[in-house]
Amino acid sequence: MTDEKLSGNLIQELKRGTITLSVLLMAEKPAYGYSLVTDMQAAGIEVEQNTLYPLLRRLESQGLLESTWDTGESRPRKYYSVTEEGRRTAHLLGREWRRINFVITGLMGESMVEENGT
Amino acid sequence: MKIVEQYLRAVGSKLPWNSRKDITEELRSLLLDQIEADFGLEPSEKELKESITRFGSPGQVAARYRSGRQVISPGLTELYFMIMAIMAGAMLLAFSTVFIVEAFQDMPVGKVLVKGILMIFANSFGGWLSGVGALTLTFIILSRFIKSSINIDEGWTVEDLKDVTVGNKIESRAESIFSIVFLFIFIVLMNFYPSILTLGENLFTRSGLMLGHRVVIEVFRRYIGLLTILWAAGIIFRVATLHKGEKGKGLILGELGLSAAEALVSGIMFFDSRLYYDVNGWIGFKVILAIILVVNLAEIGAGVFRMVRDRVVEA
Repeated sequence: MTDEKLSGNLIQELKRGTITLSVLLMAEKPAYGYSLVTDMQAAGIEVEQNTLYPLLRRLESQGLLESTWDTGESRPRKYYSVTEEGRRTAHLLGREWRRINFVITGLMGESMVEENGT
Repeated sequence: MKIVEQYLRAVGSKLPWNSRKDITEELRSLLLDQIEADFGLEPSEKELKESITRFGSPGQVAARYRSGRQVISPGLTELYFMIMAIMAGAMLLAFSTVFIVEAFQDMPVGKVLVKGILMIFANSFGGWLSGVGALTLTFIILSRFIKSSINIDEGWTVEDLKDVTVGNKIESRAESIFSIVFLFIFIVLMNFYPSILTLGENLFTRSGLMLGHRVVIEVFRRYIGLLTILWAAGIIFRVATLHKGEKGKGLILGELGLSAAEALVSGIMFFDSRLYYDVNGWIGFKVILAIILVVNLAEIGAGVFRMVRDRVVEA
């Protein structure tokens, strides 16, 4: 495996967990699949639609999201919104995210200090 | 947007059976959203193909809705468990019927009655185990050796969809499920208790009506192997129908072949003079055979008509 491909895979792994948190936060307002993809991309979160769509279903089956079909528009659309359980999970994930961020930032600071020899 | 339907059909064939409809509906909505966002409300054929290509190959898209390599293909797993449950119910029904029929003749009491009731469960379990073995092997073979006609791997292009047929929607899953149950029951009943026909004849005459003939059970036994093959083929056809979710050309041809075989066998049995005694009319088993013959001929006629009509519409 080339360095570039390996780095790519590791970055993907790093991002994977954050997508779930991002979806739970962004689904506060009911949104359908395609609008979620574009909203997330606009917010700077790189996510492929084929990654997001199955994730939405998985989060729904876990009770973190709920969905309704809106048939009032030109074609039926499935809208997802976060459940109470999803909000609690997002809160826990957010707290963990801050803790990890704090620790990793600290580690990066130390390694940078060692690298600079200061 | 035929190409979109062909694409969704190709994805659907790789999705788990029980959630296929829901996922396909959602994918249709998502894909159309993307197409509209990219090319507006009236995209050209070329633009549709471009959007579909970007959406991913059918195999890649379906794979994201499932995970891991399994002994039985994910598209078949739910169906496998459903047939297992159907077999358990059908065995119980069949052996209960055999018990009731025998009980009417022998009038068992006490220990014999209790033993007979226990034997219903023992026989059902034994029959079910044998059935599960055959079912598992069949599904493993189906999963391993029957390759999809839809190219899903690397090198997939949207042009591969042109051969995908968007068949007639199956109107009722319940119809297929009931057929499977009853075919299992027929197989068990006729193989374990063919003289149930004589009992049926006796019950008929008790009602005061006259029978036009009676069935020679020893001759009827010779047909049971052939009938079992037909019923087993019927079960396989129904399972395939449930699995596919819609009738493509292959299933329509299979249905026609099955109807033709059933019509042929019922016709042969109808005219086999060795099969009957005390013959002085049609009333009796021959009427059932005549109905089967007529129904199957009608199904063949309707099937051929639909095929011709579809071909004309396509042209």
